[in-house]
Amino acid sequence: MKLLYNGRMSLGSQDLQSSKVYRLAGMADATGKPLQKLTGATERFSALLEQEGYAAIDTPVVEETELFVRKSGGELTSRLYTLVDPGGHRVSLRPEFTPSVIRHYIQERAGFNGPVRFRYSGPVFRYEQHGVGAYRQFTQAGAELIGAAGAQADAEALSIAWEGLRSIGVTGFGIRIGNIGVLQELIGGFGLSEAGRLFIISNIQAIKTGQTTLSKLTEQAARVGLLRAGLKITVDDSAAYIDGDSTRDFIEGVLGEAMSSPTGRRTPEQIVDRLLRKVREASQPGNLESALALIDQLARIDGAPGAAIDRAGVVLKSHGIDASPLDDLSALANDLRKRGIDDACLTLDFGLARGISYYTGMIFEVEHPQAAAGASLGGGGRYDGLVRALGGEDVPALGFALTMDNVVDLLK
Amino acid sequence: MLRLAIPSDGALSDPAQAFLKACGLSVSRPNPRKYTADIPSVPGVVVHFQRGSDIAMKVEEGSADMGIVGHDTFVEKGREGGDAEVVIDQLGFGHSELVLGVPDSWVDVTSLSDLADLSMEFRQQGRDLRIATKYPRVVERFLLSNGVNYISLVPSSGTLEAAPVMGYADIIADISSTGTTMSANRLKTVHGGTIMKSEACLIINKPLIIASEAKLSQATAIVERIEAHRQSLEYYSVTANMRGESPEDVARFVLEQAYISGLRGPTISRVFTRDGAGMYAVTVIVEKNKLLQAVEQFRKIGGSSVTVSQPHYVFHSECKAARRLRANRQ
Repeated sequence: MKLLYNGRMSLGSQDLQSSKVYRLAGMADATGKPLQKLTGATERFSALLEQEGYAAIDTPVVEETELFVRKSGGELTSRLYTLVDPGGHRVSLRPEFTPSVIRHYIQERAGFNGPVRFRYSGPVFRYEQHGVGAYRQFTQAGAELIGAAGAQADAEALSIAWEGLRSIGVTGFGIRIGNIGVLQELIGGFGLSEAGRLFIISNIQAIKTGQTTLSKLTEQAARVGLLRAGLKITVDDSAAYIDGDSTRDFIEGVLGEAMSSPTGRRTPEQIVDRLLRKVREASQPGNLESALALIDQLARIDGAPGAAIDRAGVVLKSHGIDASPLDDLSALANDLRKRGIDDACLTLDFGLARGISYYTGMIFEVEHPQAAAGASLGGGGRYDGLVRALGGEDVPALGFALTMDNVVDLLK
Repeated sequence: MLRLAIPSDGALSDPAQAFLKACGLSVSRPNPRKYTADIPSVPGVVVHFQRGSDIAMKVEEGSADMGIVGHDTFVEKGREGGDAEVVIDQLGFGHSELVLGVPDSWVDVTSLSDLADLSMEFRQQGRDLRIATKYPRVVERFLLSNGVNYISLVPSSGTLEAAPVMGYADIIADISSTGTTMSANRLKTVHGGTIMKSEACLIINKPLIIASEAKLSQATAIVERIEAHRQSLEYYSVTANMRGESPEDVARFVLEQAYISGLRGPTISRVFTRDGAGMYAVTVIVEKNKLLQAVEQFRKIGGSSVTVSQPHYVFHSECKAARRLRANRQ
């Protein structure tokens, strides 16, 4: 028995010696000059952030999956590296730092008074589709500003990103700025449900690039139950509307047949309650169409901040909509000018959307004509609801990160 | 010896053998209890009958060199960047869809976004939406990318449709070819709930095949026949008799017609008539959906006795799948 066991062991180790172990796809080794470039750039950026009052933080590479799933949206969560650890916990490698920094803030907030500034850098992991140049581990360096609202804080984040890139030695880059909060406010007057507004915002990129049409979107909204179908009953030519407590009885009566099937772990009451909520919250088709028509025009506006705001003002006037939400954008543009940032580097883009769904206000992306297609240089924005969504209080916050691997590729 | 694994069970089993036969690769299995067989037209190939769900893994680990699998199974069981890869992606049979099924009684759920909302509601009650499926990897990725975040997958290989009734899952994700099994079990599909469309495909273990001259030439023989047969299904061979002074004369007429100028041009051969008049047989290859237009154009220029036949194979100047066999790996 022992002999046989030894025999198999030696065969196994021979096999191991003869076969090579390769690096995983989408992962890179860094040595020599490229590594020096990466660490050098990260250090210079970090030094600038320190000077601006951002305290260093390092967070675990592995966190409970829940932290990243709760508010990030499908584009990011479907690319998580998730595993069950030996203790049986469902954990993920961090795809970004923001949720971890917010988790830290919530856990330790007793010690914080007023706005809190953090800076960080390190590897993040996203399971990108396999292909040339698709990195699954890359280095992010960024900053979070928690507890600060308003255009001034937005301008601080933007100007630090701008200064940071210059401190690294990158030239010729531009910053594309959008604002989800302003769009939300502008379509707020159409009486849409939150789901209806989110539906429009999440399709803004497709509207801007012409990948979809307004009629297709309306159809889609109807199919997913966002539009009011109109619960009106006609008996002997006279219309009757059902309301109040009798609605539930009526629905349960009508649905009796369907509800006789097994309902699984849900009770018939839970099903009817959710159905009623859905019907109540559904939007009027006409309202959704008007909001889409406005967004269709706005999404196509991009250009230098002053000119873009003027064009948006004209569009809003033609729809009879109060243009005061645009004041936030003007305030931001003024503040950036005061901080010495050249208007020529800025593009205000009303159709900008980012892959992460927790943003609520200003968002931005760094762009460069020499950057490879699909290689993001970095970006960020305001995410006022995230602290609360992760179990904290209602604290405004914003942040951004640079994708250092792509940034240093631009250095000579 | 090239080892070709084909399904011994499930929906792909009979169609796979019928398909090979149609490609001129009939499987000869003298004893139905035997788990291996030959393909007499390509000597040196051994057919291994394997469970459909195992074939992707067998090819990946190298106990088979080539296999016929459902594309869905390959995506679920395959290892990205591994040794197994697809060499012909659409074999034209074994079409299926992987769809979500929810209880009929959930009248409030009609779309994928309802499931996203519902998973949130479940979470607030301290539980996850449970999904029974044979495709946990594919299903998890699909649901997460569509905002259905709070889920737990119940990997299952038995009869999934009963899971919601039996209570071990809330909803299912399963292969549906007609949807009748779903409705018989009081389940319904939801808008946006089609996870993947699939058909049978041919996969290979590339390192094993390129390491052996014999295997490479046997694999080439197989993919050449399959590709040429698949291509032949898109065409008809159409022959008509035409009067004319000379082949050139006839060719001029024919080439003026859009639908009957063939892939490259017509083949024209002389018909020896009793009265000695000049008559030629013109043969062209025509796309299937252009057949009636082609016949009409033959008639217009005086063609008679038009016969149409189905080519068994159409070999183009290069076999794409054979090139993929030899191509360097990325």
